[in-house]
Amino acid sequence: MFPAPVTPAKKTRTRTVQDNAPPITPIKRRSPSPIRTSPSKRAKLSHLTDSPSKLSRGVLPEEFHACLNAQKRAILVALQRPPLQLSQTEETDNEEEPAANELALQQLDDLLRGTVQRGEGNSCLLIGPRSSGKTRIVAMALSSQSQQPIIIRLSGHVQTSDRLAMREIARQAAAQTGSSFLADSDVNEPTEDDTDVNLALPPSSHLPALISVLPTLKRPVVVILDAFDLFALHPRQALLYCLLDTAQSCRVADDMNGIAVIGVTTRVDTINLLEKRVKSRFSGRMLRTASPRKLSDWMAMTRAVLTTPVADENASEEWSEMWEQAVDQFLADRATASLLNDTFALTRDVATLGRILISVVLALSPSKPFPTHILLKSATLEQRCPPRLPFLQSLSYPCMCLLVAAMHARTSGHDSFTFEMLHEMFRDQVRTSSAAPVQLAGGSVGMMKCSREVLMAAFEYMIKVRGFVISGSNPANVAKEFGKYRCMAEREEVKKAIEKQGGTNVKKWFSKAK
Amino acid sequence: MATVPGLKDPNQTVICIPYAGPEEDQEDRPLQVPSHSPYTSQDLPDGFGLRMEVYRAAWKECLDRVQSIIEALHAPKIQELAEEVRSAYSPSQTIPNLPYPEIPTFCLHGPAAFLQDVTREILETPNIAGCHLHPSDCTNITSAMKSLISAFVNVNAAETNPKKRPALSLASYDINMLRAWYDHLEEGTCTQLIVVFHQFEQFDSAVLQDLFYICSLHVPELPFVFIFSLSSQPSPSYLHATYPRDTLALLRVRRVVAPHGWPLAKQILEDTFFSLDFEPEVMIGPAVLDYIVDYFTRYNQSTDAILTILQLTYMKHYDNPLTFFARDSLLGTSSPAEAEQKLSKPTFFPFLDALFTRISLPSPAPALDPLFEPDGEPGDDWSDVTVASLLASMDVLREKYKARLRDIKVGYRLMNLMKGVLVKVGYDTSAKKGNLEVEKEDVELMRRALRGRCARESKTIGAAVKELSAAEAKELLSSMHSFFQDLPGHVRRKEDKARVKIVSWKSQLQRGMEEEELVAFLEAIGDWVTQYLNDRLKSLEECKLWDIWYTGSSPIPSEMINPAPRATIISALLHPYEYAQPDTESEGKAPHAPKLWELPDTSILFRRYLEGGKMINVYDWYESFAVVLESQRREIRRERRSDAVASRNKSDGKGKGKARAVEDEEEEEEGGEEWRMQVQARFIRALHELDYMGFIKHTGRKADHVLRTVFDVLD
Amino acid sequence: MADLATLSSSYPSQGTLIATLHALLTATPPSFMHITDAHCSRLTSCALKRLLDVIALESDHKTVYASASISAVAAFTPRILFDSILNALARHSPTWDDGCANWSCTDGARYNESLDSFIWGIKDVHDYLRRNRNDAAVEVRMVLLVERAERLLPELMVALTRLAELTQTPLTTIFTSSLPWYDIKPPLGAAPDPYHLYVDPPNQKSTLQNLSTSLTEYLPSGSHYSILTRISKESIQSLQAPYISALHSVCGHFVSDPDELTYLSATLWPAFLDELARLATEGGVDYEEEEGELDITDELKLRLLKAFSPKFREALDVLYPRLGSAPASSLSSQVPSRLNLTRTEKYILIASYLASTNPTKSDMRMLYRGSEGGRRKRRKSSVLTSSRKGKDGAAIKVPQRLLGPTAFPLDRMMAILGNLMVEHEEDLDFGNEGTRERAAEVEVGRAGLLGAITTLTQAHLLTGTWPTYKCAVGYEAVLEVARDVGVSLGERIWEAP
Repeated sequence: MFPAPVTPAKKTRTRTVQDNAPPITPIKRRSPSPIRTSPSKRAKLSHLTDSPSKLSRGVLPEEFHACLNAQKRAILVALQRPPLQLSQTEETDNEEEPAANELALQQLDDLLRGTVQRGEGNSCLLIGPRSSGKTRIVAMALSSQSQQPIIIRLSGHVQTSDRLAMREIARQAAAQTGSSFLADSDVNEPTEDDTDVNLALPPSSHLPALISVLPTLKRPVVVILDAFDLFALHPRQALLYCLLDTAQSCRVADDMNGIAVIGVTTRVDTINLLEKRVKSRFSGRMLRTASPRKLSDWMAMTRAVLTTPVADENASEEWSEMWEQAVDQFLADRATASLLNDTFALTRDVATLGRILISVVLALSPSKPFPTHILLKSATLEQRCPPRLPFLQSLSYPCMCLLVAAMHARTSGHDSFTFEMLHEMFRDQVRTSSAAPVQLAGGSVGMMKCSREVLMAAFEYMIKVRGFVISGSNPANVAKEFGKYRCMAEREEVKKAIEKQGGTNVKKWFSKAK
Repeated sequence: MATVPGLKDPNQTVICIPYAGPEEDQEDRPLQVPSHSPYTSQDLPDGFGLRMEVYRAAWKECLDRVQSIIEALHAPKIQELAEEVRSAYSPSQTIPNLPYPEIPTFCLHGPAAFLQDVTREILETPNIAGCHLHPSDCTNITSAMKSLISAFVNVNAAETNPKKRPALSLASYDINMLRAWYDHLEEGTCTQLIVVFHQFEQFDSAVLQDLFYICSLHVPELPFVFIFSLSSQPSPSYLHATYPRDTLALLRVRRVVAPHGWPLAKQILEDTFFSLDFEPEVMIGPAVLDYIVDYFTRYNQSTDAILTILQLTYMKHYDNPLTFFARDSLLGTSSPAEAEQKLSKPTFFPFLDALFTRISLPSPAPALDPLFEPDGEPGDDWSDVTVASLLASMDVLREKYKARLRDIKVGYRLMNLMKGVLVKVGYDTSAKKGNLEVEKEDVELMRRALRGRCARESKTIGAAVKELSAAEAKELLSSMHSFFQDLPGHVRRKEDKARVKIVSWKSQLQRGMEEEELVAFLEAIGDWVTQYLNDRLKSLEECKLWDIWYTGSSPIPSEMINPAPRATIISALLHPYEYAQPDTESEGKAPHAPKLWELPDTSILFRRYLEGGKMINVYDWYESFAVVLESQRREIRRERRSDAVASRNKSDGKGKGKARAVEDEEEEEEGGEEWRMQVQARFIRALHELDYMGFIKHTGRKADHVLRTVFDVLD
Repeated sequence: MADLATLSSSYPSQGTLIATLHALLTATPPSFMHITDAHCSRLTSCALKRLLDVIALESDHKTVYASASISAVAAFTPRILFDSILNALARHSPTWDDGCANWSCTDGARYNESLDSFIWGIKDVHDYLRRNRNDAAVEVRMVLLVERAERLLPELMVALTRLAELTQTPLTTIFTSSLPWYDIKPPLGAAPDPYHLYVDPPNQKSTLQNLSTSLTEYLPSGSHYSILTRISKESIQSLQAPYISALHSVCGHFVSDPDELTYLSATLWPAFLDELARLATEGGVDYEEEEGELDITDELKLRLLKAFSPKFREALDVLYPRLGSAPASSLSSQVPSRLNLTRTEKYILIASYLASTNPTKSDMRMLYRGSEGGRRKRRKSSVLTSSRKGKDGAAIKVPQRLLGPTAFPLDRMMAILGNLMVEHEEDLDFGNEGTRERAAEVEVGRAGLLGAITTLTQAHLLTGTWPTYKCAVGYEAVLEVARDVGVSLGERIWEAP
C-alpha cells in the first residue's frame, strides 16, 4: 500500500508529503464546500458546457487527452490512500469533539513517543471498523517518530500459532538488528518427505526467553499485532501474555530500550477475549478509529479525491479549472448526492466509496471526459451490491427450461428436485406444446426439443455456477441424475431473466407456474 | 472358516474353502457311499491313475488349442488399438482448429487379460513411457499425483539425480517436476506418456476430475495418453454417468470393446472340434453342445465358462475304464508287448471280458462298416482271440473312428462353405426355423452333423445348386475347389476323387455350354453334392466303441457346474436318506418316508427349527429336540429286543446319532446324568452344524433367542 | 497499445475487462480484485494471461511488471502454490539437471514450508527484481492471478487477499471464478472486499467473431476427396461465414460457451468440406472435366448449406455431451446403445429395477398373477405440474422412478425374480402349479444366477454389496431389456410413466 517505512530512503518527516492525501491540518486545506460555491460555479459551468469552443457535445478536444489520463492516474493513486477523517470541515462548530481518528493518531503518537524516546513499556489496542484507517494511523504514528524503532509485524491470519509467531519475531528482529536469535530457527534441514509438516520451529519453551530479549535490543521495539483477536485464540494466550508482561514490567532504565505492543483489530469486544492474567498485564488503553460520521465528510472526501491535483508536468491550468467545474457540477447534482447518500446510509466503509470512485474514474474517456451521476449509478450498482447470480444475465435455452421447471417444482410443493424430475417436466411440456393445434406458417410452434444429455450438461452448468445447490445431504454414491438440489434464484429473478431472453414458449410455460 | 480369503468380497465369483483336514474328534464312522459309476466292477486296478494321466494329456491339448484360438481372435484388435495409441498425437488422429488440445483417451471394455495384452503390446514400444495407476494409489489428489509422477520420473535409478534437495526443490507431487523431467529428455526419446487406469470404476471420481484437469493444463507439452480399463459395459456408459461434461470435454474418448459373446464362442467350438488340422482326443456330443449354448446364453458369457464345461466333460468322460484306449493301446506302458502281458495278469480279467463283450457285440450298424469286414469280427469265434489281437483291433477301431470323424468335419465345413456362397448369391438355405436365435442355429448344424441328420440340409443345398446361374456356379465351384485344395495332407489324399471331379467341372464350365446343357450339368453337380454330403455326414455312434472317443448324448453333470446350494442343503436336511443311501438300495425297499426319530440329529433339529417362530428360544428348542431323542431311544431299544441284527446293520445306514445311541445303550441304564449330558452334547453339535450352514443369526437383541434365516420352506 | 488492440479483438467478449484491467494495472491498482465470469472461464483465463504478458512487455526503466498465474485446483497443497508463485514471479523455471531447485535469492533459503516463509519469499522476490535493474528508482509491480479461486485451500485464502499488506510490497491479487465473491469469501469478514470486475456474457457478435478467428486451417489434411484441392482457398474461405452463421443459428440456443461452439465448428468443418466435394462431384459433371481452379457457385453454396444443416443438430446432441468425440468419422454416437446380457442377467436387472422402484407393500399386487386374471389397477403416476397440486395444498407424491432407486434386500429381489421367471421363462420347466414355486426357488438359488448378480455389480448395473443392492440402470434401458425377454414392464411398475 505505502512504501515500506523500514527503508530509510523512504523515510520523510512530513505527513503531508509522505502520503499525498490532502494535507491534514485545517489551515492548509483547500476544498470549497459545494453549498457555498455552487451557484456561481453552476452559472459559469452552464456557459462552459454550451460554448462549443471548449467542449463540443461533451467530447474532449485532442489537446486535453493527456491531461485527462494524467488526472485519472492521479485520482487512482489518491484512491489507494483515501484521506483519513482527521479534521472537520470548516463550518463545524467548536463544541463538537475532534474526529476519532485525529484523537487516535494523537494518542498513539504520544504512546510511541513514550516508548521510543523515554524507553517506556507500553501496550494498547487500536479498534475500529474495516478500512477506517487503523493500519495507516499506526504507520503515520511510526513514521513520525524521532528515531526509527525496530518494528515487528505479526498478523493473526498468518502466524496462526505461537511457535510460528516466535520464529517470525526472531526473523524480523534479526533482519533489523543483524544479530540472530533462536539460532535453531533459521536452519531448515532438507527432508525426504514432502508432507510439509516438518517446520524448523523453535520449541515453545523458548518463548519467554525470546520475548524478554526484545527490550534489551539496541533500539526500542514496536510489536504490531494485526488481527489481534485471533492471537487471543491461541492456546493459553502464551504469546500475548509474554508480550504484555514484558511491556508492563519494562522499567525505564539505561539498559532497557522500551517496547510497545500495539494490537490492531476490528472486534470491539476483543478485550473480553483476554484471559484474566493476560488482561491484568494489559494497559487497558484502547484507541478507536471511526469511519466518517457525517454525510458532509463523505461528500468532502469524494471531492477531495476527485480534485486531486495532477502532480506531473502535463498539468495545464485550463484543464484543472475545467475539471474543477466538472467535479463541482457532478457533486452538485441532486442524483449524485442521493446516490452517495444511499451508499453512506448503507455502509460508511471508505473502501467501498473508493471502489465506486475507481470505477467511475475508469469509465472516463475523451468521449465522456467528466463524471456524471449515470456513471456513478452503474459504478455503485457494480461495486456496492454486485449481482448475486451473474449467470442469469445470459442463459442458454436448456438452462432457462431447467429454471422454469424448477419453478414449477417449487409451486407444486417440491423445493428440492432431482434432474429426472426437471427432465420429465420439460419432456412433457415439449410434448404438449408441440401437440397444440396452433400452427404458424404451416409449422407447429412447439417448444424446441433438447436431448437428455444436453439438458444434463445444462444442469451441471447450473450446479457449477451455484444456480442449483445440493439440498440437505446427498449420500455419496447417488447417481448424478438423482442428486437432490434447490434452486437459488427467486421467482422474480427468473421472471426477469425469462422476460429478457426467453422465447414466447418458455414465457408461456413459465406463466403456468402459479 | 472365518479366515477364508475373499469370503466377504462381493467381487469374488469363486471362493475356495480349503480342506482343513479331518476334524480331530471324528469319532462317528462315516457312511460308506459306494461310487455311483457303474464301471467299478470292470475297472483296472490302476485304472483310475492311468485314466487321470490320459485325461490330463488330452485336456491340456484341448485347453492349449482353445487359448490359442482366443489369442488369435484378440490379436488383430490389439494391433489396431496399439497403432491408434502410438499415433494418438499425429495430425491424422487430431483435428485442426480445436479451441484447446484434448487428452487422447481409450476406454477398454473387457476382461483384465485383454487389457494386459494391450498394455504389453503398447508399452513395449521403445519411445513410450508408461505408468499404471490403481484405485489404491489415488485415495486423494496428492497421492494420485505423487504416484503418477514418480512412476514416470523414477523409471531408472540413474534419473534421480543426487543434486536434488527435497526441501528446496519442487514437491514430488508437483506436475512441474514431471515437466522438468520431460524437458530434460532429449528429443524423441519419449513421444508419449501413457497412463493406465486399472479398475477404472473403483477410482474416486472427484480425485480423477482434478487429476485430468491438472494434466490437461500441460497438454500437449506433456503428451499424455490415458487408458481406462473398465469392467462395465460400453452402454450405459459408466464414464458419462459418473463424470461431468466439463471433465469429459478435456478428453478425446475412444471406446474399444474386447471380442465377446456368441461369435467368439462359436469360433472356439468350431475351431476346436470341427477343425481339420486339429483332432482332440475326445469329441463332444450334442448334449454337451446344447448345454454349452444354454449355459453361455443363460448364465455366463465368458470363455472361462465354456472352458469349465469342457474340462468337466473331459473328466467325466474318462470315468469310463475303456477310455484309456483313447490315445493308444499301450495301457500306460511303453510297448504293445508290455501292454499285452500287463493285460494278461489275472487281476485284469474282469476288465478283459468286459472289453471283449463290448467288442464282440454286433456293431450298431454293421452294413455301414465296409472297412470293418477284412479283419473279421473278433469274437465271432472267441477261442482264437488273443490279448494281442484284442489290442490290435482296438487300434483298428480307433483309426476307423478317426476317419469317420474326419469325414464329418469335411462334410460340415463344406456344407458351411457352400451355404456361405449360396447365401452370398442370394439363396436362403436355412431351413425355416426362423424364431430360433442365431447361436441355436449354428449349434443345430453342428449337432445334426454329429448325429448324421443332415439329409435335409444337403438336399436343400443340392436343390439350390441346381438353380444356380453359370456365373454363380463358377463361383461356387472355385470356392469348393480351393476348399479341397487347402485340406491338410492326410485328409486331402482321401478326398482326391472329389477334388478331381470339381476340377473337371470347372474346366467344363470354362468351356461354356448351352442352356439345357447347363441345366443337366448343374443337375449332376447338385445330386453329387447331396450324395457327397450325405455319406460324409454320418452319425459317430455308428462306430464300434464310439464311447471311448465321443461323449455322444451322455448329459453333462450340470449340478456340478450350476448347483442350487441353498435348496439342496434344505432338502438334504429334510430328506437325508435320499442323499445318503446308494440308489440301488433305496430302489430295493418301498420308499417309506422315515419317521422323525429315524433321522440324524441335525435333521431332527432342523425340523423343529422349521416349526419355530421368527425367533427361536434356544431352550424350548432343546426341549423339543430332547423329546424326539427320547422316543428314538425307546424305539431302538424295542427294535433291538425284537431283532438285534437287523437294527445293527440298519443303523449302518442311519445317521451317526442313532448309531451312537446304540453303543451307549450297552453300559448305561435308565436315563440319568449320562443320558442328559449326551442329549445336550448332541443338541449342541447339531446346533453348531445348523449355525455353520447359516441357518441361525445370533442377535443380541433378545436373551437366549436366535433368529431364523430361512422361512416358509416349500416341501 | 497495438498488442492490446489485437488482444481485445481476439477475445471480443473480454474486451472491456482487458481494457479496464490494463488501465488499472498500469496505474496504481487496488491490491485485491475479483473477476466473476460465469460464461467462458477458459477464454477469460487465456485472455488474462496474454494481457499480463503484454503488460510485462511494457515494463521500462521506471517500472518492472512481474506476474504469476496459477489455478487453484492445480495448487492442491500450500507448497505447490508457494513454489509456483515464487518461481513465476522470479521468472525461474526449475530444470531437472539442477534437481528441480526452486528459486531462492540466497542459497538454501526455503519459502515453501509455511505461510510466513512464503511471505518472506515474496519480499525477497521483490528485492531481487528491483536489484536486477540495478537502479534504486525502479518500481516493481507484481500481479498474482488465481484462477478458479473458489477451489483455493481455505487456510490460504485470507492471506492471499491481504498479500500486499502482509508483504509490504506493491502486489495485486486477482481472483477469477465462475462464482461471485460473496459465494466464496471466507467467513467473519477476514478478507477485505475486492474491486469487482465482470466479464460480459458472450453475445452473438462476439461469438461469431470467436468462431471465425478460430477457424484458421481451411483444408483438412486427411480428406479423401481430390476435388477439394482444386477449389481455390479463397472460395473455400468464402464458405466460412455462412457455415459459421448457420452453425450458430442452430446450436447457439443450446450452447452459449464460445469454446464449445468452436469445438463443434472445428469438428464439423471437415465433414462440411466432404459434403461440398460430394455435391460438387455428383452434382455437376462440369466440375469434373474442366481443369484447374473451380469456384463455388452460389447455387452450390445454397445446396450445400441446405444439405448440411440437419448435421448441426445431430452433431450438437452427440458431440456437446461428448457421447462421441472428434474426429467423428460418422457423427453418430460411438456408444453402442444396447446392453448385452445373458438371459438371467436380464431377468435380474428387471427384478432389481422393480425392487428399487416399487414400494415393498405393492409386490404382491404387482407380481402375482392375480387368480382372477389381470392385475389390479396401478397407481397412476403423477407427472408433477403446478396445475395438479395435491388437495389441501400438500405436495404431490413424486414417483420413485424420478427420485432414484432405493436399496432392497436380496431376498426380496429373488422373490420377484422367481415370479418373473415362472411367468416368462418357457425354456426352464417349472412343472405344474403345485411344484412351480419350489422349482422357481431352486432356479433362483442356482450358483450361475448368484454369479450373474456379481457380474452385474462388477458391471455397475447393480450397486451395493450383499445383502442389499440398488439398481443402477435407468427406466429406458430396463424397458429395452424387458422387451427382449417379453416382460411387459409397464404392468409391473407401481408408478409407470
